[in-house]
Amino acid sequence: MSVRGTLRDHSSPRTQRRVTRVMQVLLVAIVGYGVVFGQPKAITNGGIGLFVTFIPALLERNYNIPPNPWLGVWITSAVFLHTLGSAWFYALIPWWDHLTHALSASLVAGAGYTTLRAIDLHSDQVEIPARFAFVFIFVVVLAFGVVWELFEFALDIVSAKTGISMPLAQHGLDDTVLDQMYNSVGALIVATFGQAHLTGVAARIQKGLYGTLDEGS
Amino acid sequence: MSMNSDKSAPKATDGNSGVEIDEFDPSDSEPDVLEGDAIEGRLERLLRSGRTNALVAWAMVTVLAGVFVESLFDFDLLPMAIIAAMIVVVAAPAVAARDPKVMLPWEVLGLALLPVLVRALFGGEMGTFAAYLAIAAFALIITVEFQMFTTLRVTHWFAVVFVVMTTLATAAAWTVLRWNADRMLGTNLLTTNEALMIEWLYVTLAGLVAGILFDAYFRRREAYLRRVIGWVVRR
Repeated sequence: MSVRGTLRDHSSPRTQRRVTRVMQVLLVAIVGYGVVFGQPKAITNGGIGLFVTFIPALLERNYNIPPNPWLGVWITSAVFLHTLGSAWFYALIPWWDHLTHALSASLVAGAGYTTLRAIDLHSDQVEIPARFAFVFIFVVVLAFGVVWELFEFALDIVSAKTGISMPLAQHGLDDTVLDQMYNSVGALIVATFGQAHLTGVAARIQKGLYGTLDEGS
Repeated sequence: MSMNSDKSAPKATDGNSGVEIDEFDPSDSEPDVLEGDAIEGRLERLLRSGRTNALVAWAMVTVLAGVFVESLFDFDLLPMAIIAAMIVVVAAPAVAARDPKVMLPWEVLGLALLPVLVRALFGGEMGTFAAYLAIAAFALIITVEFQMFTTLRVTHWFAVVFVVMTTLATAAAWTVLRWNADRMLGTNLLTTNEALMIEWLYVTLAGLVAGILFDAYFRRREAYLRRVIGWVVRR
């Protein structure tokens, strides 16, 4: 309830904006560090991360979706914590990897759920009751996890064949499975607490894309 | 389940209207009926009530029942639970309709039960690819049945995408279960990361093949139904 109230409160999005900006500036600093000290990993991770943090603003402008400051904080912190991790903390703090996986998975879960709700609202033929949405969020996150690990595996193979250092790598069986388990934690959090809040986000996206708000049957 | 009550309605929404009857009665098959609920009814039209189909389907259920009795004697809890769940899922439409002829198409059931049937009848183990193709078929069956028995409504393309994702998600969940079993029960189900990635690669292929297969299957059934109705109406 309080989360929802805060989200509706458009009078003070300044704090969220500021947090997002600070993280973006630090990402620029990481890219700069990579350039100066010749660390390709910091450049690719920081650069891609920095680009991702601008996606919400791009979407809001191009599709006329009302801005949501929390979405910016959410996406930017996921990217930021991962970039910090690949620069230093993954090697230093054992649980950092779990934290970033849960956070990124929560983003995937949020995106999956918002898409589902948007389809549900937009299409007359699709109707997904809330209890199926819970299952759907898990299916999306676990399936995405499999595709992601396969992607990392492919990068490892390419990197072994060509000697090019890749921004992502796998670290053995235990790490792969633990990644999936912490991904599920992120999915569980969104599936449990996110539904009430994200329903409003999907409705706003629908409104932004199609002008009028259809009655969500 | 009433087969004919909604045939006059141009757009039926109660979910039971799309059940196909193999022997078409000319009186209840105006072409516009199909046009009206062509998209929504596509999933439920997977159900058939033909006699040949029912015979083949029930023969498969009989094999399942045999496997269940066998696991009962051996007191193998996991196979017992899995086979019992399979029987419930396969027999649910017939039980709900109180008509043994209302069964899923034998070709879909056959794909879903292939690993179990092959193991029971020939004693061989199927590979990862076939096993996950079967899981995809099961995901499709369960989606169709949820659509029948709950307020869930999905379209053809949604069902195909969902089935592909469910296949991948099942592999992930099964991996997490195996890993924890290895840790806590001292089993050796998982070996190396590379072996797991190759397994997941096959799973992904199986999921995609299942998606393409089901998509083509839905379209063919649709075309077949149009032909049958056209033939009946012309007479």
